[in-house]
Amino acid sequence: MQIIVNGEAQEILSECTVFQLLEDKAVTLKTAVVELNGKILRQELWQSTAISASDSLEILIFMGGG
Amino acid sequence: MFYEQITEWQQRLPESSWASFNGADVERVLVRETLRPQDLAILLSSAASSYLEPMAKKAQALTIRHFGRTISLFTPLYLANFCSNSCLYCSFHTGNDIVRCKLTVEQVIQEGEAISSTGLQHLLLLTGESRTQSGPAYMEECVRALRPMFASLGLEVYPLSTEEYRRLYEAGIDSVTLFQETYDEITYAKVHPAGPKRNYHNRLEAPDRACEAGISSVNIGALLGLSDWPRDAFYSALHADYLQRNYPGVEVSISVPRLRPYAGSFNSSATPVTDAGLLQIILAYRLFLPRAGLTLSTRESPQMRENLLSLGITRMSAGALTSVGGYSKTENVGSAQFEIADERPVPDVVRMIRAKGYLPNFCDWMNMRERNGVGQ
Amino acid sequence: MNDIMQSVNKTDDSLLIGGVNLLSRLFVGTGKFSSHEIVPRVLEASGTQVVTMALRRVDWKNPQENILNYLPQNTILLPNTSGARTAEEAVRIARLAQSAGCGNWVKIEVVQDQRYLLPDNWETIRATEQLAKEGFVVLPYMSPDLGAAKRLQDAGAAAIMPLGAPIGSNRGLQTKELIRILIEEISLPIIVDAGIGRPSEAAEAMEMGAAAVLVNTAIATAGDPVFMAQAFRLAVSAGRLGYLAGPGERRVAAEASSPLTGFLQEGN
Repeated sequence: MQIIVNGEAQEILSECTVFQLLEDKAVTLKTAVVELNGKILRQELWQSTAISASDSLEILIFMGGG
Repeated sequence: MFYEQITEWQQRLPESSWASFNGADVERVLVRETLRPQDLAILLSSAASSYLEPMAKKAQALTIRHFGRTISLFTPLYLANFCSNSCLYCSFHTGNDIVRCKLTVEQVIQEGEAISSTGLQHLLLLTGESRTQSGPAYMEECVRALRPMFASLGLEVYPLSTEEYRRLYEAGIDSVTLFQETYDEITYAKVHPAGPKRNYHNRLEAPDRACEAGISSVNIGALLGLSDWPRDAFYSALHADYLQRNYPGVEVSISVPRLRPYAGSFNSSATPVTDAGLLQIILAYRLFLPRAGLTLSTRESPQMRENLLSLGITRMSAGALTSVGGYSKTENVGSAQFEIADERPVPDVVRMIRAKGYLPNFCDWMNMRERNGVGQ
Repeated sequence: MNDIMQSVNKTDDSLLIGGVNLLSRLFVGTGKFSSHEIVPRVLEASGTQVVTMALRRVDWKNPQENILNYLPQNTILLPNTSGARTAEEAVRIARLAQSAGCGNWVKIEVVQDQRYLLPDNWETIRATEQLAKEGFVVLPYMSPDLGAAKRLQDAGAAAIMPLGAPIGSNRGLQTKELIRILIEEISLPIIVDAGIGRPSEAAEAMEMGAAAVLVNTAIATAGDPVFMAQAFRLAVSAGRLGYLAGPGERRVAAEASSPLTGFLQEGN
């Protein structure tokens, strides 16, 4: 199904949780930040939240900055 | 509110601190650009009394930098001397047997014309504290009558409410003068035994109300000599600093009235302010508040005024009378509030200022609110 | 010595922000480094306790490791809201950063000017109001204007971060006089951020009475960032000690005559 991740269209297998998506993308999980459909999704809920078609996700991490 | 600063500094600077300041402390302060309250205290302490010359040099230079070589002129007009207070140090004390009167609006206009003909453009209006004889409505009437004749009108009366200040501002008052007399509560209670003036806090907070009401300039100070003068000078300057910081749009000045002979028999128990003491206060004020106005009244002798005018002063009264009326030949002449030491008329004062290389400034203000066709 | 003159105890000169007593007055930014690997050594050399970082979308094509992995334990994280052009965006970024679970400090950086990267004081004030209400420890980066600083103070900022010069310009304290006024008039810690290009400039800011400085470009782009970090550490300490010691004892010249005050008579 189609979803939007960081502003880009992505195809994913159905029945995927947020946690699985991040794992799949090899994102260092500990301090990533996830926004699902415009609302912040707390880490405790990543494993239990399923992604639906046309969901929009923002996945952010901390990078160098001044 | 400012009272919190008074209690804070009373604790931070007990008597022992004042007594411990020495010449090295003064020298350290004199090389600073900006002074903190503790530096102000050092300059007001006895340790600084032998440093008046370097303080004067610095104060003179600072004043010239921020104000130029100019002195603004004004005069007071007492509208009425009815008073319900019993201030021990004042001729208008309710128990004193003096000639009480109040100017009618016609007489006010006459006085205004007489004063205006000397060229003076800044007029300070005063009354004793009597809401029945000289309440805000009466003041407003006088203000409206005088507004067309003067560039700027100031008010030195008893503490008013914010709303009353606002109405007077609308009527044409630009500045409010209010002296706390003394910041020491014990002395304050002693010298104000009866009448509305007993209320220390109401008076202390009145400048705030005036600022909130939109008044453009406030003038404060202690009556030097009522209480221990280094402390009163310290809190006067801190009060000015507080008003500058909290009401950045308001021009703040301090006056340095020294206790003078008057009708009555009050003898202050505090150490009198000598000429050197008065100078020290003026210099300390200037160094602590580079941009505050400093006002000198005609309580001081011609010699003192002439010598002090280049050492921090920015405003002076000229040709003043402290009786009710008296500028014109009006019959209504009430008793004076205090004796004036410099009785020279305006042209003589102007000559003195020019002789010192300073410019006498008659008009330092433009009233942007509606004026009734003034001819300049 | 008079008690009041010893108003600062030199052995305990910590900087209190957001309930934390900081011993280091050098904050370090992690941007513009050639590689992340050098960052731990740089931070250690700097002695810093507060480090800034940005929040960015993960880039799958060039996956970058999370900068947080390179920070020493117990570092206070100061995420900035860079990228935000409005108060709303800054607030959103702050909330996102907080949800990552690394504390509630935030540096507000709202820039609408892409040419000089000058901060927008107005949006910064609005963001500060909102985030302070939400319990953040807010450190707003701003253009040194006294009126704006007062509003930031009223809005609940924990400190004020005026720029010394535009970001990355390495020009030193171009806004020196304005910063001096802030230090005089604002009772919050003033942390000079942006524009400090040399250790001497950091020392100068500290001598003026700044509470701390934030340095990024000067360290990250130095020939040897580790050495430069160490230099800044020393400079900040030197400047701070110089400030605490007070200005030098210039003697007030003794005068033989009293031209201005000679009019006073004895015993008057």
